[in-house]
Amino acid sequence: MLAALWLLAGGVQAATTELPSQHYPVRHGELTPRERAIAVNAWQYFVANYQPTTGLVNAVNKYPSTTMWDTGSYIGALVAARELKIIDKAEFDQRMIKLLKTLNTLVLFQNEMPNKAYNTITAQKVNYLNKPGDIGFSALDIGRMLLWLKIVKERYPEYGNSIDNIVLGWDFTHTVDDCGTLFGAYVGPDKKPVYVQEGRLGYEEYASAGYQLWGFKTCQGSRPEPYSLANIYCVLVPYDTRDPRLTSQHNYVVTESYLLHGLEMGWDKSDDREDRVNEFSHPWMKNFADRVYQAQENRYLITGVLTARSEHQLDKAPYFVYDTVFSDGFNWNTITDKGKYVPEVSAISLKAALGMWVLWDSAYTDRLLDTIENANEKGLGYYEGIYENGDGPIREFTGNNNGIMLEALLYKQEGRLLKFNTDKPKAHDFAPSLWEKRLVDAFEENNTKRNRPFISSTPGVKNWCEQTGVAQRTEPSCQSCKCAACQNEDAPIKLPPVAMSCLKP
Amino acid sequence: MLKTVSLIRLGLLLLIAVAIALVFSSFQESQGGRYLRSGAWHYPGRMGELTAEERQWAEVAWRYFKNNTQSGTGLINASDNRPVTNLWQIGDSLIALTAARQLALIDEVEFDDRLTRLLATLNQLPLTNLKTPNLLYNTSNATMVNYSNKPAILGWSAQDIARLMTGLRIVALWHPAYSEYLDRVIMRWNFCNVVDDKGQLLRGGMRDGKLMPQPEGRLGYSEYGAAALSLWGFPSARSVTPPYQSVIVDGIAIDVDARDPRTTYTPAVVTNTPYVLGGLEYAWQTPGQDATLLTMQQKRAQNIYRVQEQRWQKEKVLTARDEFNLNAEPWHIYDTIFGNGYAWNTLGDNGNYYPTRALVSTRAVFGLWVLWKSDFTDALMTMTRLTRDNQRGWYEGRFEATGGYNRMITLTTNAMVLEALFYKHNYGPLIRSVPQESYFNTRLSDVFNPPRLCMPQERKPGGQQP
Repeated sequence: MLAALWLLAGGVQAATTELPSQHYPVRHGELTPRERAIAVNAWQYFVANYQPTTGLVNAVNKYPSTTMWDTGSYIGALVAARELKIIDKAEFDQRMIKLLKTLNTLVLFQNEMPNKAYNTITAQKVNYLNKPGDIGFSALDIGRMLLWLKIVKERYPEYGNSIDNIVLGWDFTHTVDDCGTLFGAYVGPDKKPVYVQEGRLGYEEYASAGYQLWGFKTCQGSRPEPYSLANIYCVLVPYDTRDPRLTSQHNYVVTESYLLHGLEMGWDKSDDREDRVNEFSHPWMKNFADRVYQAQENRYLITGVLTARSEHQLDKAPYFVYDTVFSDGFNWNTITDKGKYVPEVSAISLKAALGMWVLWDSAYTDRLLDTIENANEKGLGYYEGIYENGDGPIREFTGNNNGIMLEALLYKQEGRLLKFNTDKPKAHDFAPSLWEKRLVDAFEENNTKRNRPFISSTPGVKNWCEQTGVAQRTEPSCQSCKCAACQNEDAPIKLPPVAMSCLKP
Repeated sequence: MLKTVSLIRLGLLLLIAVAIALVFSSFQESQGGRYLRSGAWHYPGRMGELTAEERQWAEVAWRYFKNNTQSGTGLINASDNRPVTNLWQIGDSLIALTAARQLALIDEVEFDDRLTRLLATLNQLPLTNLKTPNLLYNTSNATMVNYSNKPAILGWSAQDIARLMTGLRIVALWHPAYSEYLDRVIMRWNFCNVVDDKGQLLRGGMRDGKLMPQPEGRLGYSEYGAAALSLWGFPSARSVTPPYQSVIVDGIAIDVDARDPRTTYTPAVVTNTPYVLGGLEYAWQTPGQDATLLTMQQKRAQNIYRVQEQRWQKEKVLTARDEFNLNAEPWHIYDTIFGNGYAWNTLGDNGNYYPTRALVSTRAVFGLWVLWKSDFTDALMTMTRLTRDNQRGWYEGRFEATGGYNRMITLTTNAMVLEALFYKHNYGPLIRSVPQESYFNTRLSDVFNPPRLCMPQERKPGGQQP
């Protein structure tokens, strides 16, 4: 049936073959001693960069600043460390209690959402130079945080109360619009906040999943459109067609966005409570991820360059690059945030390599693991990457890199990281969480003021409303009056062809 | 009795024979007859005598040449009233002149007068110290000039030279009497630095006061230029098969040069002109015994046609992309089907994106219209047929963003209008054979007196070994 869909594309000669990566299983099972050692090494980063005053962890080694994205990665690392028994419950609890306190008391940007950056020692809002500053918020960073808060809430319901309070403190008015598009904020020249659509194919849908888990409708944000295909070593790789020449955002295709959705959401739809290995219910994430993976494996097979691309830090100027499979018109583009081409700093990203290793069991990812397994320093964690040109390691250490590596190893042991604490949310006696209780209360003013979503009623919620006499807040019946573009939300996705005819077995 | 019957029979037979001969001779003169005799079924597009309206189109284009001919040199200004030209545009002029004669826009006397002036100039053209023609010449006195029309030596372009050599071939095919003088034009030039033994086209530029050759050409123009050189017997292999990759534009695979514009600072663009000219001149397959088979060229031309047609069908945007000149910053635009990473990119020479400058290019429309007979090219021509000044020639085109005219008037556009109409009148491509006997071949077969200019016969067969 899929083969029939592939024939849809106009003049591109669709190969009727599938990509090999579509048949590589994920790795699943107890960690071997070798894999456990990697987890222990990666955790060293979070030992070295922990800030006891706030419970936060530096995003980059020794630099006391972090973002919501990187704090999401830290939470991932913390969960993995506990589940892989690198730390015990006591240490986990001590870290988690402090962290959730800090997140609950963060001073927000414009009293809306968490600022783009915070000082990890003082928890003050800062700019990118780590000087006090109100600089805006990132809808993507917050999406990742929402996703991890949900995972913690479901895995460890004892933290549900603290976590719900964090999210109840946020104001989503300017973050999610009526059509489910995500917006970030920056401060304009007149010092007023400017809200702009944020997110491109891959990251946009990953972040949207975080919002969906809290009941938001992200219809536009979750759609793959607008996209086109790039022919990369015969693999047709989708990229966002919103034009980087006309907007300030690059349309990079990297491993990380697809990888994180795979690890955390299992490439499943956000409402999929089933958790089965090698079954993926998201209509296209797995398919697009396979293409991004296959382009990289093909590059190795065709050019001999080991490839695992992601955005990453550098240990020298320009300090940060989008090291991509495709961006701004070019395959294998490596660009600074200003768009300058810097091919000399392209690298094997360790988080990408280990993530690919766990999500695609193949000879190629075995080789990737052999390449990176000892690319660490004692007491500091894993290097950010290994330069493709042979210049050795990127001697920089980050929470995001080491956190995602820990996530990957936990995925091997447990499968999808999002585990619901009960499979019976529809049971009559299922107790709604604080979040649900607030959101269904028709007399809770902040529900409208902070643009909180309407959550679907369950027998448990209904039962609770009846018992406590709460008038239930219900969604207006006319769905499409909110957003005309979102009427066909459930229309089936037509997948484009995966390969050019040049890819012959 | 018997005799009478047989006489009547004979008379009848004679009558039938006369009738057949009469029918046949009128058929010879008819469109169908020309269609058959010209072998037109081999070739795509629109063919046949020009209609009254098409004749007027040709007259407007020829008007440009009348207005811009410098009587002293016979050279034509490259744009209206601006007395500069390059070798590509001299090639355009030769083809336009041949077309004008074949379309009966000029008589034999005027043709001879114009060609003679031009040949006299070309056969005395001042050359660089490496015996290559300069990039630019002043049209009023034929001196070598720079971009501000001041005397200077800039270097040379093998692509431009190749276009001129195509023009010389076309004139010689239609007017063989002039072929000796046409051949002489290039026999003063040194080709050592124009194309190497492997068939790589070379351009020359000034570096530290010296002329330095370096590789020239990207997919499209590279094969077009190489094909022209191969018509004269020069090596062409490397430039006929440049490295390419496929990109996907609106679902259609389009081939683009694989050399990286970010590191080579040479734009990798896909436009109509080289593909259209390949179709008009040799139906994407060069003639001759050792024919250089441009196997991919036809498929590529078909795909760029198709993707433009599809943009019109699906997005309702009339599309015919080409490079063109502007009478304002940034002066010259590469308006592409694909360029430097982006579909439908519109690039200035500085590499910047000028989306509001996208143009329905007159030269592209005429090429597409004559090579593909379709609703799409009818629609293109409906909106292009009045894009002109009857006293001055055809405009460069009409802007996509506003529908307004780009009122620049150039030699290349007006020459391509004439060349396209010539294709129609000629029932197909203009070059279907190469002469076996010529002054060029005879002169160079004299092995005891080689000109030492890296002419084809002086080169080692199979190319130089490294």
